[in-house]
Amino acid sequence: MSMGDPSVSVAGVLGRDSVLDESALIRAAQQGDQSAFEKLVYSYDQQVLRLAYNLLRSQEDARDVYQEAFLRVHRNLRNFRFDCSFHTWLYRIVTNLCLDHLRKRKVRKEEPSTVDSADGPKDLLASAPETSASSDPQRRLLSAEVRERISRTLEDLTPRERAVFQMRHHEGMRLRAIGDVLGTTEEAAKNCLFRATQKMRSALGEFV
Amino acid sequence: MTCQDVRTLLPLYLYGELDFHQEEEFDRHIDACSGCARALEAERVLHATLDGGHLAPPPALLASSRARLFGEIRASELARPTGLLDRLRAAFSAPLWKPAAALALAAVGFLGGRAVSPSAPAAPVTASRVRFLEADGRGNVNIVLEETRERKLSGALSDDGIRQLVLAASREQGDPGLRVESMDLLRRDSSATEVRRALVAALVSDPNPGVRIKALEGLKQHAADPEVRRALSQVLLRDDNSGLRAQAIDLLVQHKNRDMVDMLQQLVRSDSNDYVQLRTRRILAEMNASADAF
Ligand SMILES: [Zn+2]
Repeated sequence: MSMGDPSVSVAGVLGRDSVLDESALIRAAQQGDQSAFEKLVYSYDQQVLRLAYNLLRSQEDARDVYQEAFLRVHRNLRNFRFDCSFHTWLYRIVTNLCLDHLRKRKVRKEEPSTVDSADGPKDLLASAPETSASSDPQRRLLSAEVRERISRTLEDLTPRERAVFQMRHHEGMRLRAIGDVLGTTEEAAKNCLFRATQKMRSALGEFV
Repeated sequence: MTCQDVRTLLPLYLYGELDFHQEEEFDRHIDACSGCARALEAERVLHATLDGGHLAPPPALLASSRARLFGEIRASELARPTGLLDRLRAAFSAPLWKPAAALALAAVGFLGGRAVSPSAPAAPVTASRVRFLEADGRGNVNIVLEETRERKLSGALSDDGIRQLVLAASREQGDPGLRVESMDLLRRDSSATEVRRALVAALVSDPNPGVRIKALEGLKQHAADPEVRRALSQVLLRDDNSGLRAQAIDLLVQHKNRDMVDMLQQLVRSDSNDYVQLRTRRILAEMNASADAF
């Protein structure tokens, strides 16, 4: 899924047939079929890793969240009753783990960007590969300064604002789905997104 | 809808999160109000700028995360007691050997395949393996290639460096032929503890019967070692190869002890192989224990 197209939802990408295939896969995995479990992991793990890496901005932490999230899925899959979509269930686990990490950091007053790169937070965004920015020839390349500003502003968001912003802006999830994942209402998710964009606007206003 | 309302709703509009009615009103206002139309354009620029904050995870991060996950899952599956093993464990009340590191690599091997590249003058790459690939959404493909450079080594098996390499080869999951060869080397001198452990590990968990047979041959002279006896008991109770089970029982009975009785009685009830049945009943008779009492 390209982050350049925020209207794309996971269910939309999977399509109806794939959703049926998916529940067959889940049932097989629930019966202990390891290859079904692996397929299930492979169909979601790139998104999971991308979400965790973007929220935590540390490879080490993202890998830990990946590991813990899928181990929990492996342990608890038998109890999954299809009350919600698998995607929602998985994302609840992942976002909860990420929020825990972010809250701990706030307490420790840690600069999370430094975890990732020995060169310090400044290089984190600048050294990251170009993503969809270059897919639009109209869009000018971001200066390292703007990237750094975005990175710092993300640190100023509350963990929930950050999670909502990431899922809406970069993962293209609908606010209703985000509310489900975070165990809150669409309205509350909307308010989080609203506050996040306001903070972004006041931090980046002079650049755009 | 006032100008104030429109300014507030700008981000939600761009995210497509306004309801049908709100969006209608919003569009109508923008068409009529140049100030708000300019504000919308500015918001679009901000929106696009924020895309630049996205980080693409390095491909190697996905590969290593997968390897770690499936390594741990497999290790815990192998360590989990099941019916017969459970009883065995109780009988010998010592922890069973747990396979460890070799698992991680196997989990990554979702794309094997070797390609021999011809001649690269500077650093000759003799083998490469695709470990990860993904489309980047812009028409390109990101590939992580694992490249191997060939190097020849020779030395005695008693040399620690050589032995470590042979031990590593004996755990090469994707290549049963290599595992058979390395077992064949290791079985000739199994005096070192780590060699014995590798043989035991292969005997109880290698999926290839040829490898297990070599491993068992290498353990013949250690039939009195408790760890080896546990492994032989496991073979007896759960190996699907009857030739291996027959050899295992022959080795086990070279050193009879009372601890074996439970296991042998279990074997009489469950093993379908005539030789194993006959042998087991005879040993039990010799040990004066009833084949049926439990
Ligand atoms: Zn207006």
